[in-house]
Amino acid sequence: MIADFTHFLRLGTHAEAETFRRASHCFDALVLNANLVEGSPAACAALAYQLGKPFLIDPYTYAFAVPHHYLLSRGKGKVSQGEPRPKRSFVGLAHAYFGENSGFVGTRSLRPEDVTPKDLTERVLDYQSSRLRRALSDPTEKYIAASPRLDPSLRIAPYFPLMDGLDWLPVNISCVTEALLIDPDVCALLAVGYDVLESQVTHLVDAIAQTGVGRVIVWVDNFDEDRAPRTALDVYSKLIHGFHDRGVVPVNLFGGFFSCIAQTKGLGGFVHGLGYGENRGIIPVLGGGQPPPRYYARPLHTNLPVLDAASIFSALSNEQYLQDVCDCVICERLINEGGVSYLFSALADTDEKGRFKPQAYALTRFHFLLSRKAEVDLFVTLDPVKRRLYLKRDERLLTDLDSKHFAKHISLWQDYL
Amino acid sequence: VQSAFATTLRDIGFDVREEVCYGGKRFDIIARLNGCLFGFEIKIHDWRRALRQLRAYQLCCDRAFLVKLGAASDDLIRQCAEAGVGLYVMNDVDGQTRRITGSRRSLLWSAYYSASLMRSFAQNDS
Repeated sequence: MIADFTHFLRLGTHAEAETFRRASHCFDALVLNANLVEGSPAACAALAYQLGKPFLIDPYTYAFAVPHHYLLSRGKGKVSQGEPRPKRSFVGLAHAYFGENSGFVGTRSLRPEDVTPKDLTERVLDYQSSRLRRALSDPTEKYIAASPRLDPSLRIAPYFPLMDGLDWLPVNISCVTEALLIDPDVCALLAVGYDVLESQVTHLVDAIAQTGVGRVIVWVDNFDEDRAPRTALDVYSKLIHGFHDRGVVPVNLFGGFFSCIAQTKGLGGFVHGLGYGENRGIIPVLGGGQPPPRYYARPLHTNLPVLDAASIFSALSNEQYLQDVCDCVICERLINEGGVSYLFSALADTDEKGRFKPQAYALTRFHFLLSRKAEVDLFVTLDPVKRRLYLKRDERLLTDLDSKHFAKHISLWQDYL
Repeated sequence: VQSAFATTLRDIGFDVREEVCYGGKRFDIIARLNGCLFGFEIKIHDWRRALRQLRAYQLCCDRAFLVKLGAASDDLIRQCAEAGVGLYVMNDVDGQTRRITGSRRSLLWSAYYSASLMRSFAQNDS
């Protein structure tokens, strides 16, 4: 079951899987990207089964419509460093989605006229239902393979990006329409550039709502809610409110704490990664590797370099920190061991080569998940007046700490409650 | 500006590293003398931002300084003094540097951060 306001966590790499298992109480549902599923289906199946949580697979169909060189790789490690080739996971996905017509991968990008919506939709939905199961072919795994835990809670219709115009919109709408014939609970995904969204927001809402779909995942290209000006937040809010008004539940594919605020506009959930991935560009398709540890500053509702956070909060006493900033078990334990400075030095701990220690990654990740869980749970229960007071309190704390410049977004966000 | 200032520091006996990374931050210049760490943030424009950045230096350096190209306004000098940050200005014609105000150790300074930064500093030796 998917909750009324769902907090999704996206798996970036399997190096994060252990954190997902140990902190599974910190999120409602799991998101797996299809390229990760295709590259490591058995590991993804194991995680989905062990977590026993609702999950969905982002089919990543948009990747075939962006300039083809974004799917190329020269390989790593012992693999040849010669001519760039399409990544194996995308070749596998293309074969699953386009069958014998998948030869275009690595030579050109997909065009709207290449797509047969009915055929593509059937394949893409089938992939989401069956790929994890097919990875468990060993007879000893047959009970796991048959488990309903490997059924995605929602399936997503094929989608392509609306970056420079609406060229892909008819294909997207056809795919949603076809998908609804197969699965009435299917979900649409709107991946859109900001300029297109700004000029076409009403049209996009109408077009998707008219399909009769009940849920839409929205992805606004590079939309950074912490830095977005008021005009951009207005457009985003209009999109969310527009879907809500038409009876379609919107979910933000890359969001942070502003998504909690956007509940008031009708947002039904949000997705982020493990301390990152709260905004993302449609290109490049592939991420840039594991980001360094950052500290989730609960009063700012955003991640900061650890030393920036230390420069803000080190002036607080232990008691003030635990009362006003964070009282998660990570912070409480480290503060009890050595105080606020000790806490931040542990989160920024490096080895003799200057690299962050694995412990710093683990501590910052668990701190992030615990803090995010606490604020999401709290915010959902507050009435509008208390939500405003909550943000006002954060703003006041940062002003008192001479760090108001870090919190311009907090002032702005209050206008959206 | 950064290289020129680093050279000046070396000439007067400091052990100097540029672009030292620690705690998710990149420090322009960290210099060591008699077991103490000195941090220098180089700025051509936007000294207000530099003052904010220098708070991270103050956590882990015994002394923190802003090095600004061109003249220093009264407002800049006053705010550096209030923050406990030292100020150097570098002449944008002949590259001569001049100390305007001294620095004091911040209340934010912590032995934890200082020891870690010292490790990063030592790592840059190799």
